[in-house]
Amino acid sequence: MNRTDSHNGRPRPTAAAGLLLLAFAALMAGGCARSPRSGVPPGFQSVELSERLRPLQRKLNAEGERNWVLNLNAIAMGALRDGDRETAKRALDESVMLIEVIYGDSEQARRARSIWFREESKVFKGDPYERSMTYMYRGILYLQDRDWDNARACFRSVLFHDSLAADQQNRGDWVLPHYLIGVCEVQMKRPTFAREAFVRAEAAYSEFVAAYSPLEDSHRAPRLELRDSLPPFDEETNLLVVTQHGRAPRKKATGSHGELLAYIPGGGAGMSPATVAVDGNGGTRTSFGDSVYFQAATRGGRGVDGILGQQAKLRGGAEAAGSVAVLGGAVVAAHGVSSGSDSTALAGAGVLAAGALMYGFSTMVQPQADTREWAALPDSLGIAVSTAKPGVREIEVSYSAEDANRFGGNTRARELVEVPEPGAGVAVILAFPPPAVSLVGGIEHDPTMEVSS
Amino acid sequence: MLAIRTTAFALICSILLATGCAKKESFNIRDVDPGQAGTVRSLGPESQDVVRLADLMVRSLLESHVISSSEHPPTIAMLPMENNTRFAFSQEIFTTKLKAELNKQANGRLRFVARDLMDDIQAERQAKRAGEVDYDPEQRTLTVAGADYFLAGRVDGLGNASRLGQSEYAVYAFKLVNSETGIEEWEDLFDVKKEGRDDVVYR
Repeated sequence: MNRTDSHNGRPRPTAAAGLLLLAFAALMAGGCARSPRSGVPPGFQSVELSERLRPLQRKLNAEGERNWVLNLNAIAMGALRDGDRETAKRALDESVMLIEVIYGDSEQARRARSIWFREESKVFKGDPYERSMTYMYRGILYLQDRDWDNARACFRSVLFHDSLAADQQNRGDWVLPHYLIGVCEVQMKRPTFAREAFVRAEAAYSEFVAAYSPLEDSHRAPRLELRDSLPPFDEETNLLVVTQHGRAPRKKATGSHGELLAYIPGGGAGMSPATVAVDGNGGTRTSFGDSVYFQAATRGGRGVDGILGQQAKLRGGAEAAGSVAVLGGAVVAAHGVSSGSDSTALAGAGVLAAGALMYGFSTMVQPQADTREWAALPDSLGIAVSTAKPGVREIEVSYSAEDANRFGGNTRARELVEVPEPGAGVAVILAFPPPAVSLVGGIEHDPTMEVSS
Repeated sequence: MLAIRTTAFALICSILLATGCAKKESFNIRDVDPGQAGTVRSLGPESQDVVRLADLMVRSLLESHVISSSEHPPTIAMLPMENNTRFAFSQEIFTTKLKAELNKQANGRLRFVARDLMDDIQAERQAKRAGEVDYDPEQRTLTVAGADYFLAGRVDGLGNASRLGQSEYAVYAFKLVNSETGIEEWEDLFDVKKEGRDDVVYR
């Protein structure tokens, strides 16, 4: 700092220039990157939402492209709960299209990798379990439309997106998609393929049962009532009910600088099977279908973890070096002042200033992991199948008190459905526990519409 | 001197920022060639696949012995295409394009029966016979035309994903099946493989 310009004797503007260069580099690294688009996705602009879903539409518009998938999925869940299947289909179709976009070496991705921006500045596509669940819901909607091959395509995509898991043994280990592919094959009169799919479902189920128990103890995952096998499905089966239990897994940034992403169970007390009655008769207990938490917790490391880890190290190192320099500089400067040595005091002040700069730099490094999450997902899914009397039937799903508590104590959900003749198709119901009706800010508060961003 | 340097430095920064941040060519909506891969890409079926498939199948089918050596134009029923991939999409885009191109380029060498309009056709026939609408008795037939052949298509897919990227291989096949004998008298295929690599922040 006390070096002088060889030509005019004035101090060189090294600190100022350094700061300017730093700011310039920061701008070039991230500031020039194109910001994600604002407004609603082009394919969703003409969709009119109900009054109840308008707050979500405003959120979709306000948060723009960065959270399109997150907000579209929330809209889809709200619409499904309202029985508005067409809106749910539009939202999920748009979401699926955005999930499939390949962000190669894009500006937004570079920005998310930059040390100056948090990971959450990237466009949200969701973790593999969230992408898979987007396809799961779309596939169930195709099933309801009896579009068997497109339903099968969606369930295959559930498995495909799980194949991004880092842990080889946990790739493609969902249970329900295999089972539902079997259902599609039965409807398409392809018995050999159906058998193969059900065998894969049973194998995935057995592996799940073996792998899940340790999680119950070590991670306090919800306790599930697991049977020996999945319910048999054949060409005579004409009613399939998919139930949803518990709360979505939560994401938590851990590590010294929040650079590590951890998944914690959101399920709370646990999941008990629901009971399905047709026209008030009988009571088929649902079997376990899949665990969303298990899928979240077993994905393994992410590609971005290494980058965030380096950023955390950089931040930690800069913090430590800055702190030491500030402390050391202060001591030297104090010594210089007390001993009357101007040069020592100036040198100490210089070290102190450099330390402060270093510390300031460390606070600008953003290694925090992205914790945006699809909070409306369930913890797990259940299934019930039966051969019911054809015609319009009232299907009543009774949830356990634990599941009902999530929504305010109402345990029963009813739905009218056209049950086909055995061998002529299958009626599919996606059951939600009934919501509590409470007015929050003029709209009905529904936990399934929760979005975390 | 310092002021001059600082000003010069700020000027250079401004120029660099202005040029570096200059907005690249952007668009909201524009017409593009459906036969070419656009800027917006996906590993699933895309418009250029539809165009290339229709082009290939039309040429192959019209050159086949079924069409070229037939004394009378065969009648064909187009069946829904089966999607055996991991992508959900409207299969009708393939069959609509293919059928329209065949009708356009065949010049009467083959004919399609409009099974998608069967209800309307039956209602019109009944209305004619009930005297509700006029018609030419010379055009009268005992019943609607049957199909000599079924034109059936399917697409099968094979997807792979790893830390290095994703790939999708798709095989589109169409075949002409004799509706009396069940013999497959013509078949051709079109296959395409696409690879994509998402940024590390998405893997």
